[in-house]
Parts: sequence; structure tokens; C-alpha cells
Amino acid sequence: MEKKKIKQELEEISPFLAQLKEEKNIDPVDDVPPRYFKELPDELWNRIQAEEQKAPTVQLNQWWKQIVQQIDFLLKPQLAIGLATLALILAAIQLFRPATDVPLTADMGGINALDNLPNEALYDYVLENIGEYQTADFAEFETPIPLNNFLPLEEGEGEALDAIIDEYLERIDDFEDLL
Amino acid sequence: MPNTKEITDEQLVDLLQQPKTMERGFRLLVVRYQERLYWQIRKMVDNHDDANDVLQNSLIKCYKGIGNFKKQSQLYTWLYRITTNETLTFLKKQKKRQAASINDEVLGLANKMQAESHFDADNAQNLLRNAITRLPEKQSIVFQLRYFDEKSYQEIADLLGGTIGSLKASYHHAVRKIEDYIKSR
Repeated sequence: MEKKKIKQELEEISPFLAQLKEEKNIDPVDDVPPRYFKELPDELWNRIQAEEQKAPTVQLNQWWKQIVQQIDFLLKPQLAIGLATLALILAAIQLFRPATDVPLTADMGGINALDNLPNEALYDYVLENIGEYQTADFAEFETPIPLNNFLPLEEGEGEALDAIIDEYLERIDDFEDLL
Repeated sequence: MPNTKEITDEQLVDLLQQPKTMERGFRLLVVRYQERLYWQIRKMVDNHDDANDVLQNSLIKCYKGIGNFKKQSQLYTWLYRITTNETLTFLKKQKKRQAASINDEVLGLANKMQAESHFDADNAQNLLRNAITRLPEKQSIVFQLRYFDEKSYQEIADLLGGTIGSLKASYHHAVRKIEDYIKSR
């Protein structure tokens, strides 16, 4: 029934192919060796066993091939250039990075570390390098730690320091306005 | 243990999936399906030696892949798909070999034959096979199943999935393309 349907369908879509199919069906196939199907299971099993005996060598070869492929991959020009560029960028970052890019905080013992320095040295350092500080840096000094604790000032020196700081703050403001 | 003929496909898969019974399972599988699969291949492959190669490769692939076989589908369906794919792969390789070995003399002869409108049946069958290998994979398999194996659309849907409507469209489209290809040669 289905064969009839298929034939009819094919004749409708392509009479040419329907005719070709008819011609093919006339040809008998008589070239199959007489004991072929009896011998095939043994032949196949022998082939499988022979392939499995070879398998360890093949696996070793594959393992070695994978390593060689990985090395080849790493030596590809595009990848090598990419890796070299990345290495240069990392080296440059390491070279030009500030010595300490983490701000010192009281929690980290940074300010406590300054305890070992004489107050005069700290005072001189701040005055000499006041230009390197920003408003935000001074704001950080508005911490719970009283300024007098590490800069014990003589009478009148506090006012002078305030004036200096004010002056520098004004300069900073002017500079920022210019920007 | 039931005798060979009473073993179901499911039991056969169990035998194949256990190392101790693998050989017995494989031999049973070959005995049970070799002829059906062989004649399926012979519809597409002209000579016995080539069909034998395709069948052996297909059955070895089945043996190697049996660990991944899911019992939701039928064993024969699975074998059939592997064999069909293997046949198509063979035909594609054959076509490439033929294309590579063809020389000007043969080409000239072919042109002469065309000019004389000599169009023998063997040549047409070769062209048919070539045309099938040029189709997209799904169309090619649908065409084989319908044209050579005379499967109903429902059976094809069970094998490949998809709706009957889409399978019908694939088959009709494949038939037209094959006819155009053969006639253009």
C-alpha cells in the first residue's frame, strides 16, 4: 500500500525519477559472496580486537600529539606577539607604579609608624612638601586623632601653621579654578 | 539466559554495555541486523566491496558508541541512522575521488556522450548518487528513506523527528533538485 503511494507521489512530482527508479529495480544484485553474512560477525570481531590491541599506542600518540599541538599553538605568531605585548604592559605597570599605592591609614598602622620620627622632622617635611598635598589630604587630617597629638606646637605656632595652610589652600583653589 | 532469538533489543543493548558480555552482544547484533543494513547500503552503493566497507565501518561505530546509546529510541533506528550517515560520507568521499581523478580525456568523452544524447541507465544512477550527495544532509536522508527504502512519512518522522508536513516538503524539494541536477548534466 505504502509502496503504491510512494510510486504515485513520485510520478506526480517527477515522472523522470519515477522511471529511473523502475529501471534500477530491474537490475538484480548477485555479487554478494555466498558465505559473506556467515563470516561477517567473526571478521568484524577480529577487526575490533586488532584495533583495541593497537589502542594504547594510539592513545600515547594522541597524548603526545596534544602536547605538540599545544606548543604549536603557543608558538603561533599572533599569539606570541599578544603574549609578549601583555608581558610588556605588565612590566611597565610594575615599573611605573607608585611605591605605595595604598593610602596609609591609622587602621593599617601607617600613622602609628610615624611615631618613631621626631616631630620636628615631620613638621619640616610637611612644610617643605605642602605643595604635594591636596585639599582632600588635609581633610583626612580631620580625623578623630587631634592634630596636637603628633604636632605639639608652641604657643602661636598653631596660628602660623593655620595661616600657611590657608594660604596653600587658597593657592590650591586658584589652581583648581584655572583647571 | 534466553536463547538468541528470544533476546530483545533491550537485552541486546545490556549485553553490549557490559564488558563481560560485550562480544556475545556484538555478535548477536551483527547476526540480527547485518542483512537489513547491508541491503539498505546497497541501494546507494553499487558494488559489494564498497558496501562491505560501509557496513563494517557502520557496525564498528555502533560498537564504539553503544555506551552512549539511550534506550528511549529503538536499536534499529539508531543503527539505521549511523549506517545512513556512513553511506553518505562514503558517497561524498567517492565523489571527491572521482572529481580528482577525472582527466581531460574522460571529460571530453563525457561531453561527447552528452552531445550525442546518449544517456544510459548506469550513468543516470551515478548522477543520481552525485545529486544526493549535493543535497543538505536532512533532505538527503529523507530522500533516501523515501525513494530507496520506501518508508512512510510517519516512519521517517519516527527515525528523524520533525513533522510529516516538513518531511514531505523536504522530500519534494529534494526530488526537484535531483531532477534538475541530472537533466542539467
